[in-house]
Formats: sequence, structure tokens, C-alpha cells
Amino acid sequence: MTHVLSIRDLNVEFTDRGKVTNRPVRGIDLDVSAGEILGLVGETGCGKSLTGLAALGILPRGARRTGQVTISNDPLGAASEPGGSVAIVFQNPGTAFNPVFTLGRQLSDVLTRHRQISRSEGKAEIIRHLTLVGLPDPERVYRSYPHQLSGGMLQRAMIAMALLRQPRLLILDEPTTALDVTVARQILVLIDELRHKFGFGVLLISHNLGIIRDVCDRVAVLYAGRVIETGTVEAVMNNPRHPYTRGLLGALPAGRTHGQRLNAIPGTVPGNLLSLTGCAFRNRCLHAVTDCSLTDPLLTETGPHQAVACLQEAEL
Amino acid sequence: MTSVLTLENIVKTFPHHRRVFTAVDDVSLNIQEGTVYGLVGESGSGKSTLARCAMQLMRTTSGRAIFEGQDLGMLAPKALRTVRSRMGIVLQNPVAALNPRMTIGASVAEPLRTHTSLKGQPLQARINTLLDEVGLGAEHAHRLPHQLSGGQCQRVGIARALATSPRLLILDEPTSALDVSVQAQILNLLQDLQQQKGLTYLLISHDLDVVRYLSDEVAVMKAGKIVESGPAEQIFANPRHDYTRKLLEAAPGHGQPDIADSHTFNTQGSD
Repeated sequence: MTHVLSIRDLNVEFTDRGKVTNRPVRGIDLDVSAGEILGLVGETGCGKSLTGLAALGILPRGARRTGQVTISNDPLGAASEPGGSVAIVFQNPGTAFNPVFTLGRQLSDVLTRHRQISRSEGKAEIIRHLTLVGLPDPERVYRSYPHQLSGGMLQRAMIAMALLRQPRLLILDEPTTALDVTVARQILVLIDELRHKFGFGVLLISHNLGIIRDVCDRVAVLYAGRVIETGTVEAVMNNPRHPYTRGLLGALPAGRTHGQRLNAIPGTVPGNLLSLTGCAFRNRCLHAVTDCSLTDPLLTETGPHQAVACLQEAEL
Repeated sequence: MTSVLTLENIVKTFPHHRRVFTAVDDVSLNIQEGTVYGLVGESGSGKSTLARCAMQLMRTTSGRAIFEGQDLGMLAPKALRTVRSRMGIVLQNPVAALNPRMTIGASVAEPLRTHTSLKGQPLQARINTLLDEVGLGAEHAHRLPHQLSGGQCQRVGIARALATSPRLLILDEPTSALDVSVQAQILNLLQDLQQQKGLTYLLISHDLDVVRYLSDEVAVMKAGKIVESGPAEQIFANPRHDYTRKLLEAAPGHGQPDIADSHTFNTQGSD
């Protein structure tokens, strides 16, 4: 299978006057194949969104990327120019659009900028894409301002906007977090349908393990800027090997009855990772031993479809 | 069992483009002492408006809210304030709910200054007790909200709600803004507090797993009406209303999305 996204040893550093102040992404390797959905999961502050932004080459000011990002065989230059055949859908569709322009105007900007199609010629193409994402009355949507549409409709329009770039890779950063469950489900169904139809790969960033389980083919669990467990969704969700993955799954209230305590993971994600030695999770880990503070474990295959970065994996 | 809060035929309307929008449409419910009553539904279904009517933070258009046997709508403002000290509310966004320029200690002291005559050392002692109850230390009292994590801010929100020793806590999406690991900590805390203090909760959430986990009774709201209510296990195991079934099927983690479903919304565009 061809990889539409290949990330090798990705690091993101924040610098202040030439000095590195933090390194929230520390050596991530990821591959997304054509037509595949890879889930990126972890708590707030684990580096999920930064990984997505780094793949697009649109990191915030002061952030610097090292390592290799290859999108459908085109290496992304060190200069932060957004890659060719990649598009992103953000979490909050209500704030991602410009409130003072119609959706038609904003969608046609994509065509003029990236596909050199003029505004007048582009309308038919935009209407076709708005229909494609299941929006009723696309003509009306084309003329509408963002505040005139519901969150679910805006998120569909956002997906249409992403598709206008004819992406080989679609990055979805918490695409349904701002939406109601029934609408969220429709959006996920739509994404599933579209990737089968067009064969693009999807990098789905979410903190919701339920969503990852429902729609992803493979998953990478991030902790403190590093992949600590990865594999097929069945393998990782049914047989989690890393204590952090187990912690995340154990914290879910689903299937627990009244009065049973939830297994909360004690503590919080470390804020600054610069001076970190050993395993980043050891202070929150119930299975940590002395070795954990000395050695930072590498991802090691534990089965045909699974790899884990934990020294104690065999003991668990 | 005695009932703590009874809502009778609550209606709340708002003027909307020269017409009337009915946010809560003839809702009645009864919450027994020491139980958790879960209210689920999508955004715009009227859950939060109903909670505000229950506390009389907003006047109802018609219907009665009866707390500890008193009709809140009939009370004079001063008497209403006294009764309200026996109810607390925890809001969704814990960071936005706190004054960014007030220390945590001052935020927790606010309800105590309003509702009690505590001053000086006894006030300080009470603040420290409250912080301790929600799993924070006395050292947090001097910090500002931005120096705390989201989970810690929500603990402060709970401490504020508990300050006046209420019987009823209204929890309006208490964990929606939090990570699952932190959500688990807060849910454990809420469950511990309920058992220790015999509190009664009205829990509002769109997260069905959270509601199922905490609640004894559940009501499902849609477009201002309760479409189904009953014991939590019965509603979740054997939902009778179509809308309840639809909500349960849509919840994440309950299986692959069905591709066949997608054609129904392509033509209707139900969102």
C-alpha cells in the first residue's frame, strides 16, 4: 500500500530568542496509507494537534519542526509552506470560518488559491462538493453566512472546503467535539463514506476513545509528545499493553455500574518536557520500577499488529 | 423517601422574531432525597433552561418549582436567596466560571460571605475544609485560576457550590470540558461527596455514559419536552421512545457507523 503520509522522527520545539524552551513533540514516527483512517489519541497537552499542524507545515509562531514529513511522496520543505495535497478540518466550525464572508466566497478562495479556477467558473464545482457532503439546498448554503447555518451543516461545509483541494491526506482535528452526538455520528459516517469513495488517507485527532474505536483502522496513542502504543484498533483497544492506554480505557464510565469507582489516572501530563529523563509516564504509573527513571523505552513490537513503548510490558 | 425538588408543568418561553419560542414545554419531574436525577438531550433541547427555572435564576412563564416544600415562584427576593443557599450549581466550563482576577480562596469565600456571617479565622478554616473536601490543598487558596488545570478549576467550582452546605446540587455538564482521565477523577469525587453528605444531584449532560454511570432516574428531553423518563437501568437497557434509541445508537463507542444510514441524511439533511 502507498503511504499518503510518512512522518519520521518528528520533533517540534518552541524557541524564545534562539533558546529552546520546550519540546512538546519528541520523535514521532507515523504512517497513513491511502484509504486508511489513523487515530491519534491522548490527553490535552500530549502533542496531538501539534503533530497534525506540523504535518501540514502550519505550526504557530515560535515553533520549529525537525524530522521528515512526506505527503504522497513529496517531502515537506523545512520552510513552513503548506503541503500540496493535504487539507485540515478544525474542531470548531463556528470559529473556523470568517463570519463576514459568505460560504461560497470562502470556498471559492480555495479554488483560486490552489487550483487556479476563477470565482465564476468555480461555482459549479463548489455546488457539486456541497451536495457531495450531504448538504440539502447547496445553492442556499453557497449564499449563506456562517451564522445562518447549524454547527453540523458548517462542519459539512468545512469538509467540502477540504475536499476542494483534492487531498491525498485529510487531517481532522477533533472534528466532532463541538457537535451533538447524533450530528457527530452523521459526520463520522460521512468521513467514512468519503474516504472509501476518494481513497484519501485520514489522520483523525481525538481525545474520545469511543470515536477512535468506531471509525479508525489503526491508532497511535500519544503521551508527552511520543507514541507510546500503536497498532490496529482491535489489538490496541481489546488488548492494551501500555499502562497509559489501559488507564485511558479504564477511566471511561461506559459499562461501569453505579457505585463502582472509575480508575482515574492520578496526576497530570507534564508541562515542560525539556529536562525529562526516562519514561515520561513513570510518575503516574502504578507499575514503574527504578529502571523507568533511567531508560526512555522505545516502541517494540509485541505482536503482529501492535507495538508498545514500556519497559515493564512483559511483566504486566 | 421525601422529595427535594418537584417541578410541576414548567413552561418557559422567550420572544423570538416577534413570535414566541418555547424552550421548556410543560415539564414535570420529581427528585427524591439522596438520589441522582439525570437529564439528557441534545443542545437546544431545554436542559439548561430547565435547570435555571428550577433554581429560579430565571422566572418561569408558568408552572411551579417546589424545593423542600416551598413554591419558589411565590417567595420574596430575600426569602428566595435564603432558600437558594440550600441549592448549588456547578457549571460546564470551569475556567470561565471563575473570576480570573480573584484568587481561588476569594472565589470560595464569595458564597460564604453572601450567605453566612463567617469572618476572619473561622472563614479561613471553612475555606480550607472545603478545598480539602474536593481534593485541593490550602496552598491552592492563594493561586489564580490560570495557574490551575481544568480539572482543578472544576474542583474549585464544586467547592463553591458546596460552600453553603446545600441539599441539592445542579450539575450542568460538569465534565464535558475535561479529558477522560480527569473526568474520571471528577466523577469519583462527585460520587464520594454524594455518599458522604447524602446529597441530591440534578445531573445535566449530553454524555449518555456519564449519565448512566451516575444516575438513579433519567429523563430524556427533546425540543423542550420530556419524551421518556424512568429508572436509569430501564431507560438504557430498554428504551421505549424512538428518540432515546437514536441517542443511544449515536453515542460513540457503540459500534461502527452504518454506511447505509448515511443516505437518510443525504436527502433530509436533518442537522
